[in-house]
Amino acid sequence: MDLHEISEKLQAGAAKAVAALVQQALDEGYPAQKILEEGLLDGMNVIGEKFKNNEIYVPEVLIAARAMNKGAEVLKPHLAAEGVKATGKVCIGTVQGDLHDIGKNLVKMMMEGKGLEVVDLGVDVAPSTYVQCAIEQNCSMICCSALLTTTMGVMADVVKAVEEAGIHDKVKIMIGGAPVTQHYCDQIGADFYAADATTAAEIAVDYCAKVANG
Amino acid sequence: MNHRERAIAALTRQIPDHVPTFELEYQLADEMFGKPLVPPELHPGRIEKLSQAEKEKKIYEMAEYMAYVYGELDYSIIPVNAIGNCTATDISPETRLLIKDLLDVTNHQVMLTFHGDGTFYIPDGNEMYEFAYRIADEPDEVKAQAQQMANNAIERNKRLAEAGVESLILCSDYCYNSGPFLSPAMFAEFIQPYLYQIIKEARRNGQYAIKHTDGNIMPIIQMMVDCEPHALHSLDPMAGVDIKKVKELYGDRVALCGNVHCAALQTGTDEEVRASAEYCLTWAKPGGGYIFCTSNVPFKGMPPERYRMILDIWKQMRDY
Repeated sequence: MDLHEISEKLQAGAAKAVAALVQQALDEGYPAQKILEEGLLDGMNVIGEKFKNNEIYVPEVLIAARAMNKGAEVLKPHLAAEGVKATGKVCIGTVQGDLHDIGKNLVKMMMEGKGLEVVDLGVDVAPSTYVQCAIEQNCSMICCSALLTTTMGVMADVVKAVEEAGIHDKVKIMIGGAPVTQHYCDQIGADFYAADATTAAEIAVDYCAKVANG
Repeated sequence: MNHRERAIAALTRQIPDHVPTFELEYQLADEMFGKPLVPPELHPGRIEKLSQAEKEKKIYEMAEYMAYVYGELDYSIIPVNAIGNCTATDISPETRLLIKDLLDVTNHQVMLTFHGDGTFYIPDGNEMYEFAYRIADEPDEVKAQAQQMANNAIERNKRLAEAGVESLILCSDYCYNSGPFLSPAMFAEFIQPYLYQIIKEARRNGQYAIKHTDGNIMPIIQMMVDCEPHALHSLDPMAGVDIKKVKELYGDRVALCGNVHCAALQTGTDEEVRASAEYCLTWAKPGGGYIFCTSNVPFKGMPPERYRMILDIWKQMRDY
């Protein structure tokens, strides 16, 4: 079989077909990592690019991500058996006082679609929770989302908490959300600003690759 | 012209004596006038404890206060608050009484408006996943649900018309700053036919339909205009919607409301606020068919002096 078929079915959101094709590929002896990269991640990369370019919309991303998860469920034990590790680990959450999770969830999906391990802290996340998670789970990056102008100020508190914990040299902070700008990122001393979910995932992957390469 | 006549002129793309104003909701009554629009006694949990006579008295006082606040603000359209238990197909007796009292207190010289949408809006959190999956897995069931929601809205809007509510604000949000939640093709399938039905029936009732949505509407604006609302509301500048461009493209088919930059009102400079208000009046006012308002609502937390500032600019520039 051609692994690209998995990618295409994933892009179409055909969850059952993706799971079946992943199983078929395993049965035919393809290494799990190859199936992951050339099938699932390739499909999500296409989805991410199309979403970034407004060629597809949120429901299509969600449906594709569901298909990816179905395929990943089949693949996961085989990846572990092969000793394949995630390309990096980050934590993500919507800042304290803010209950909006749409943007955060999209970023998480795009990151997972690029092979990152993402610890989802949910919504209304206190600065200390980000820091604690980053330390305990050995995350390379803290990702903060906010929808409201009234809550984006918490992002500055996260930067402060990271500084106070003395981990800023190891753990970088990325921020995003409707009212957030590059100017604001610079102003509060955060490390990265992402204007959209796909860009956020690209930034995180790049940074995690740098960490992995020392 | 009285307020009602002015609103009708603008909504029908005529030229009134001056540009009217209103807001979908006004959340600064406490800060600017000393108390909230809805008295605590009429909130859920407390209204049930009032006798009929007490309830009627409180509702009349609320109508008087609303008429005072909106009179001071010079609104041509008053958004009616729902009180008591409104259902999917009807308004509560208390809301009906409030409408009657408002019409009496304002001497029928102001247009009343009420929420009248019944189309899908951007779902929150986990509901979003479920909605996306249902669109993919069971589209016919989703369409059946859309039809039921539209039928309910149509029924309730008819009751509103009978009660004296002349305009409907259709507030299902469809768009993010980056663009629509649904693709244009999905919008055409799961929203547009039902929005069209709701507006068509509202027109049949003699009501004026103001379609609101936040966000960047440009990829679906043509489909929204094809549903024939009297006006489009929000025209969100934070999402890059330019009222000048919308006026050029669709000003001959639909009236426009909004576009005064809400984020600037809260966090921008005075110059940015002034520039936004002046831009809207400069480009949307000519030829009629414009109602001055913010790109969302004067929400809690917005500095009242900023809101007063745009009302002052409106007063300086509003006359035709």
